[in-house]
Amino acid sequence: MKLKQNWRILVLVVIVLLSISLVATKGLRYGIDFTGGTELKLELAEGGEEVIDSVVEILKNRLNKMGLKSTQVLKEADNRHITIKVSTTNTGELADVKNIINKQAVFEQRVEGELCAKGDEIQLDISQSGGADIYGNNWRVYVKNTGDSPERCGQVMEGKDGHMTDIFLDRPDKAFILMDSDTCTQLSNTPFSNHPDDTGYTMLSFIEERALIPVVCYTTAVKPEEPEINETLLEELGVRIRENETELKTLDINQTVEEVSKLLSEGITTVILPIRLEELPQELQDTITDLNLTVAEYVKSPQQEFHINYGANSPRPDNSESWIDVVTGLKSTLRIGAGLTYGNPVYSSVFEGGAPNSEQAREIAERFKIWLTSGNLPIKISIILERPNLPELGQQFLNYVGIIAVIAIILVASVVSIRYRKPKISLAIILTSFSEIILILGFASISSWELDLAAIAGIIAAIGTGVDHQIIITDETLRGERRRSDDKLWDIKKAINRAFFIIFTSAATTISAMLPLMSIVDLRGFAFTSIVGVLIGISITRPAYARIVEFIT
Amino acid sequence: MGYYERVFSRVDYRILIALPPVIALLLLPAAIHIPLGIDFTGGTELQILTNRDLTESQLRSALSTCASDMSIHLQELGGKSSAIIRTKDEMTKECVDSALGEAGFTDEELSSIFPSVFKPELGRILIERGTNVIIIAGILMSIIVFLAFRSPVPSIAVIQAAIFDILIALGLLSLIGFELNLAGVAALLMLVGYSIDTDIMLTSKILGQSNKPFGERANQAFVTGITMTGTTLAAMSAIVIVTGFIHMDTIVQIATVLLTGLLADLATTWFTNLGILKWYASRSKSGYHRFRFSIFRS
Repeated sequence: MKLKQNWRILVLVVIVLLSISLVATKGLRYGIDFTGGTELKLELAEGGEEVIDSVVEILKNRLNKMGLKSTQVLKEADNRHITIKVSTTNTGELADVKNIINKQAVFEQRVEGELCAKGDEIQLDISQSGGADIYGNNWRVYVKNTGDSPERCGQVMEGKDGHMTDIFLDRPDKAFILMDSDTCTQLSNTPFSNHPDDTGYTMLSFIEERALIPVVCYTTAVKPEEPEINETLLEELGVRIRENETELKTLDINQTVEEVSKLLSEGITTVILPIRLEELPQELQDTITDLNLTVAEYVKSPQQEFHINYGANSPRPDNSESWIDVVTGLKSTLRIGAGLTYGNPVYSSVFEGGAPNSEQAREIAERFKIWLTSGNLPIKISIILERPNLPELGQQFLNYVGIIAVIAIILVASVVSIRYRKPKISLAIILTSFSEIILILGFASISSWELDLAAIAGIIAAIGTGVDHQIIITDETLRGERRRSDDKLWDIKKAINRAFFIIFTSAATTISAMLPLMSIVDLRGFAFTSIVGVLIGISITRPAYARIVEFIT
Repeated sequence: MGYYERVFSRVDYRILIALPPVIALLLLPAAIHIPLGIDFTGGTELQILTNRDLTESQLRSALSTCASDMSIHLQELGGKSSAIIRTKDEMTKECVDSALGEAGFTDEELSSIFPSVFKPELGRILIERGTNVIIIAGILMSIIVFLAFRSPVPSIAVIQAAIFDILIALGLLSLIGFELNLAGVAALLMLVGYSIDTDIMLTSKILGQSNKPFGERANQAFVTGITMTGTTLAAMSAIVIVTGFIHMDTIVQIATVLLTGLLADLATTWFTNLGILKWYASRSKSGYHRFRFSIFRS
């Protein structure tokens, strides 16, 4: 056997080994059919097509803050329905989920951390141009303040000509951020700017002082004991210790645990993490579990920016995916105009800004209108289906899927053995199909694709097609060989060509059948797995099998 | 003597061609009125998992106040009893709670029992989208088949087989009272995929090896095709055997639809499709020689 001729088999073996190690180390993610959980279907009222993307974004964000693991918010192809999968069947937690779905989006305007207006206090003023204007590449949104907010806004803006005011949507208010000191240092050394005139803040000070979310910075390094007596003495003498602003306050593990407990006693019950809970030092994980804190994982990928500042003369950067903006709910930062800064109550104001083109200006204005429209989410949502999947049943399902696989392999092997009466061929077919299962699972593992019952059905479909194709390859090869003429190799090549014509046509039809099926959320897992299986088949396993058969016949 | 001689020498191939379409047409009324599952029609699903013993009659009489007609699946799971109850009616949580409460269920047990109500409107949307998906997939697959064979008669022979497979499968399922749900739509597309596989194999063998006698080509294709269908039927039987012990709806749908569909496919492939190819081959001796394989390094 020469390597040059057998590279296809080699590729198969290498990728199978890779997949096995992936599945063994990274593991597989199972859907709520197997782990237990609840599927909710939401219907948006008429006109929902226009705002479904904001609804999905808001729901994702809110559910994430609730700290439920592997929550999925999926948009249906008709743009009127949303499927939510949460990993709980507990009625109390489900009630929370439903509250969150129906909850009002809380709009907040703050001036350097101080509240100006919140929720219903600030509304779109539709008496002026229907609430928004576009002129050239600029947008304008008219708002009015009611309740206590005119007075409050007047006070917090007094003397702040040219200062910044931040707009938040669903800013977490009972949460703190826990991050390692390296990340803190990075954030405290990077300036923050969300407006051309926005200066004087670092990323860290923005989070703490303008978004009012405490940040606890831990270090696993042991720090030298600090002389605490002096501080206590000073405090007793009535001297306030000011934090040294340039020096970062980092806490060792024990101090972190203390700080977290202190925050909890102040009613701050949610911990926001830029990494997975499992990646925290063990002591901190234990503390979080013991104190029963809600964990909101906002895992920051290396590609994700913390925040993109304005560059010189560049257009407004898109921060909708940036970590700080997602976590704090920051939507926009505006410059306070001179007319608002005399301390008089502010009954109405104008938010305005520019955009690269009029189309984007219109989009920004539309988003402001959505955020400012009081009521529920931008549109009325009704929960039209709530379907629990019991975890006990799911575990059993998984066991039985294993049993099905074993029995199916035995039965298929018997059919193949009866037909060919050559153990080598039967073994080759079974092993190749088995390696195809492993490759699909390896792909599921590396792409974090969630395996649900539909995906298992997709694997069955892919393997079924795989076995069929191997039978075609085998028969063509055997017949090519039987007519052994002067030019044996040519005959086999021709036979295999015919086999691959059949296989490619069949793969193309399968993929074209599965693509439209992707539009139905409940069957997406099935369609996707079938397509992946077919692609793996025609690119890796079938060519390798063709080579194997040439050898064993 | 191979399959081809045994069947085609005894019966006029025109009768064989007509047989599956006639069966499909006879089954058409049944196929159109196939019973649909509650995700299409609307209704309620209730899952119960408890340590107590459940009997069908007990559940039926207890819940009779909440729904007029229902299907009940009982099974033992890891020492617990589980029931899956489905009805076309809308059952409210309040009604279920009071009905099962009277039957002796504790509050704690009731807190984990929650009826999933499927709205009929959602079902109508799903039916519409399921139908659209099947139609779009059918058109795309037909295009691929035409591109592959570049000749109308063999292509139509392949496509008719897929259509009649679906119709016969739906008709037979309807006659045995099988309820088709959303997973069944996926199963129908899977069926079409398998059906086209054997048909493409048959067509390319018949039209691609004109140096051999027709009967030999037909026999070879038959042996390969029967092995293909046989392995799929074997795998589906594994599912049917195991799901006798545990109720896994998605997978049961797929196995049942494929089992009936592949039985239909035996007729549409080996009577109709092969018959059409025989007619096509005898009619245009020069026509099918144009057939070439051009995809793979030739």
